[in-house]
Amino acid sequence: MLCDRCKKNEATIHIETIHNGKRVKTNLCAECAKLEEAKGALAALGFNLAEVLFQKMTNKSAAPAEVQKEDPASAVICPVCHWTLEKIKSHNGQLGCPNCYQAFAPMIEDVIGKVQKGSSHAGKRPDVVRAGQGADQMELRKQKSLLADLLRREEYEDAARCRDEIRRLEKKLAKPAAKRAPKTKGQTK
Amino acid sequence: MTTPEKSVDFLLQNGASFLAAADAGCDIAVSSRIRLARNLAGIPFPACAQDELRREISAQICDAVNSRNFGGKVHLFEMEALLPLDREILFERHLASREFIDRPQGASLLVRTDEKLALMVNEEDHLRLQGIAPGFCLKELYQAVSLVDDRLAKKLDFAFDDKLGYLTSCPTNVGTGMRASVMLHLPALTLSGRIGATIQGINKLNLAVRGIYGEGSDNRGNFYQVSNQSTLGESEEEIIERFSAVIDQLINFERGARIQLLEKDRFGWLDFVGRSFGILRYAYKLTSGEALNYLSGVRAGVDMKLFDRLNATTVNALWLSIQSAHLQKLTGRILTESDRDIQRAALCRERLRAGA
Repeated sequence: MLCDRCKKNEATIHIETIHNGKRVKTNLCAECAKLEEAKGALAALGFNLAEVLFQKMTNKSAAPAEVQKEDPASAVICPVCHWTLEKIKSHNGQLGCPNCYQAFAPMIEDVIGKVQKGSSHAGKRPDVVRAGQGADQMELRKQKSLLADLLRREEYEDAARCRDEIRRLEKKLAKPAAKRAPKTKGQTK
Repeated sequence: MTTPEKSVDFLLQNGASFLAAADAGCDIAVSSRIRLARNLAGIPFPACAQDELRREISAQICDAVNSRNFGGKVHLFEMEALLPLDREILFERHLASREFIDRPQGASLLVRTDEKLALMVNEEDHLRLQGIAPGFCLKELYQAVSLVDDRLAKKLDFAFDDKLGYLTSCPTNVGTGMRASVMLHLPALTLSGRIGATIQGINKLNLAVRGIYGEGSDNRGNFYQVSNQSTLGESEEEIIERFSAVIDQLINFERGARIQLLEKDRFGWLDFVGRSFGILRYAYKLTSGEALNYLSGVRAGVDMKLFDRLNATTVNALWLSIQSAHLQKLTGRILTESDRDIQRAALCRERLRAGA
């Protein structure tokens, strides 16, 4: 199937949207998807953005062979699962193993920057859960969300009480939440 | 370890969890779902793992799950051991995804008897824990799912990074690994031609809109599944809070559109409901898409109390029974597409005989 936009290349990205209750299918090649993505047109459609972004990265190396050899992105191989960027692309942006986050860190940061709202985790943590403080951790997040709401509504007296509760919970949680380095056991097979 | 079930037949006695006990509060937001993606530390993700390793992963996770940490009796379904029709049943009941049933090697599904809690092992991630319930109840659902996640975290070592949070197969899920979604029935917004603008608005808020069967499915029966896109940078509670505010607004939009249609185009709206009922009550051949679209009209009529003897429970039960796999289970044999259309119409005629 040819790309709807350039009518030249093979379409590899297929998007379905609904306009006024009617289904509209759009088929794009990686090059045109890249241009549409740059305009921000694709982000609004709610499809697998990672797939396009990884395609975009590997297409960066779609240059003459001698240049490709020097491109560090195309040469990276995850030491644990042995997946390459090409392999990730062929699996719609899915990674091979948890270690791929380290092996392909610069590319993944780029994807995360485009897809995610933030760059640092702000939710629950398994180490705190294992330390038996999951309930406190959940309460802390609830109180933080409540504090933002109270400040927005300018209810400062309640906000002060909420802030004190946050401090108390943070103190209580400080010890077991000691940072752990991400670990890799290696491929079991 | 739980003994694997040989068939899914016993599930058919239940209504689907996401449609059960529908009442006035479930008219627009039909069901809510919270899904958490988790992976075992240091082990290749399911897409990269060979079949043998997938089976090892499955055994390890299934060993960690028992009735006590799942909050009720848990049933194990091994996809490799099930007939393709049984796998389809699990998909139609929103317990398994298409991707999951399409690669059955080492894929296991754990389901609590009430079907409100399910765990897919070896879908895109090692674990996909989902809680599903009728109505708009994301906060309660998250608490229940998070509790099971906590219990599993004590037995399994999840892949976690201090900065990136829970590491998932796709970076679009990294962080909380949480996808919150609500299935909305929006016939009035669709009928009044305002659904396109509404979807564009939702997309601008970094939320995704899909059909009833997730990615790639269409908006059959005027059902739309709205879910959060971003999983990193906010806590689970913040995501749910922000997302719920949008769902509240969408419910109000649809309610307003229904009232507006009744005021401005009363006969157009009544015709949509009446014609939908008429076709389902008297047709002799119905495709799945047709039947779902007409059921949307009947359901809108039930919501607005336009029928005396027809209730949401009957419509919900019919909604599930007319799906291809359920229809074939009900008739007790494999049907061709054309036979399915005939059986589907017969079922609708019979179930709606008592209505209106």
